[in-house]
Amino acid sequence: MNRATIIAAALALLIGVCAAGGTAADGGVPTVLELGKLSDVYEPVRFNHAGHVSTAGGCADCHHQHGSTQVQACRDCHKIDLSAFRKNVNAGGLKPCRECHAASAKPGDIGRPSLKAAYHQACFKCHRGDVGSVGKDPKGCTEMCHAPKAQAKAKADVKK
Amino acid sequence: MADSTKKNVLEDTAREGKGPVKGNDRVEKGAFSRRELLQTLAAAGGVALVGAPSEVFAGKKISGWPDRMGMLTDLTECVGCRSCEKACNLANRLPEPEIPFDEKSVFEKKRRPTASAYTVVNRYENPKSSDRPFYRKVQCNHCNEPGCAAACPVRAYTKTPEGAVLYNKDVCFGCRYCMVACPFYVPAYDYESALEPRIVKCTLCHERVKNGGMPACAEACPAGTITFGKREALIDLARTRIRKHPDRYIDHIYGEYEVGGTSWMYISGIPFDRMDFPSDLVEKPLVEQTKGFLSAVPLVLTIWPALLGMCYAATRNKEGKE
Repeated sequence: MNRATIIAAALALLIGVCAAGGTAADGGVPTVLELGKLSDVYEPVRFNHAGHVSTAGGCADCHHQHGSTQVQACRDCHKIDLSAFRKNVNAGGLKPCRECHAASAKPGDIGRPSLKAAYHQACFKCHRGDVGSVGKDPKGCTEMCHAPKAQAKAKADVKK
Repeated sequence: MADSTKKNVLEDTAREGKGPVKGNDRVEKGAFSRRELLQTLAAAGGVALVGAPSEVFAGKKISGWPDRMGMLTDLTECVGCRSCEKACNLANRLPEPEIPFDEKSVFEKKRRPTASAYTVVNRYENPKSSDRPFYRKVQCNHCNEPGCAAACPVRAYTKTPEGAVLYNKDVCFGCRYCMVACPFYVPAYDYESALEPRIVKCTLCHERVKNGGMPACAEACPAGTITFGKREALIDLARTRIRKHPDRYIDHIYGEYEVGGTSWMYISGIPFDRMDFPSDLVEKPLVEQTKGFLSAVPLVLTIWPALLGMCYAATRNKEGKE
């Protein structure tokens, strides 16, 4: 194995890790996130965060704590410096959804959606009919975001 | 109320000279006319025998168990994924459906809960956007004062302090009065087992709830459409949502007052009758519609024959003299 191959392999590995792990690329903004904490019946969701950053109107479209001082203080993400407030973003400072939204809903805890509902509601805001097939066909969810594990496994077996 | 209506009908009939009273001119000459007698008897009988017992026997205001649980379905959130149907099927160990749960062809016709599906989701057109239809989940609404329980001659139905209306197949003899009495057309008959009659309906996952869990459908819902909690708290939640988003919801919590209130409630973006919710329901429990009348039946059967006998005797004697 020559040197070039090793470098190429290392590079490929690095890119792969970046993509899968959703490592910070710019100002702590993730590129691709693998959302698999709740994965049970369905495969984890590979969420193209970078793609959504460019299409969404602003962070607050999904990160509802943005602009709400009740959930999080501005300085958790921004350096309080008027000249560069907007540019000075450390998105890694944003609270992950799971810090407030419990993974398993408890009976009686009605004020806050569970983690599963919170994720889905964020997606459904846009991906209902007009952008995507969710809400028109129950299969739309599996086509757009996550195939059932059994189905994914069957597909992989066929490929082998 | 049925009794007052009855009284009015009797009075009206007497006033208009219809029915048994005929030949007014002749009778009115008497000192105590037959018409007056009939009127007095009808009024007295109506008030004393029908009207009064209804006051006595009318159910006291049922505030129920203040801690009872309920469900709130936010119809604006549902995306029709049918996860609730699937979860219900698994939790209740129901047979696998002929059409799989991810198949949209089921939405082509409106379905009702059956013996093998305690809950079903139906699709309705959205007048504002054909791309975003509305979905309605149908199941037992677990009324605060259930009509099914009132109609059941063998007390096969129980309203539990936790909120669920439960059915006991061991005492049921299959009369199916409950199916007729239910204003929401929910109880389904298991026609497969003709010799062992069995009504089937949602149990609000009573066992799971009693063990500190939540109903399977609410747990499975990925869209946060179904919320499980104390009924009072759910009404507050519904009110808050309606107040915060008046453009998104119509100002009506279905089930807060319908037929005396139900454990399962709904909020919606379009009027409920457009999603086939019965819109002509009274706010009083159904059982109160019949309670006054039914409690008077034994009295009527024992006392009225004597009164009518007297009436007959009085009029016969008079006619005999003429």
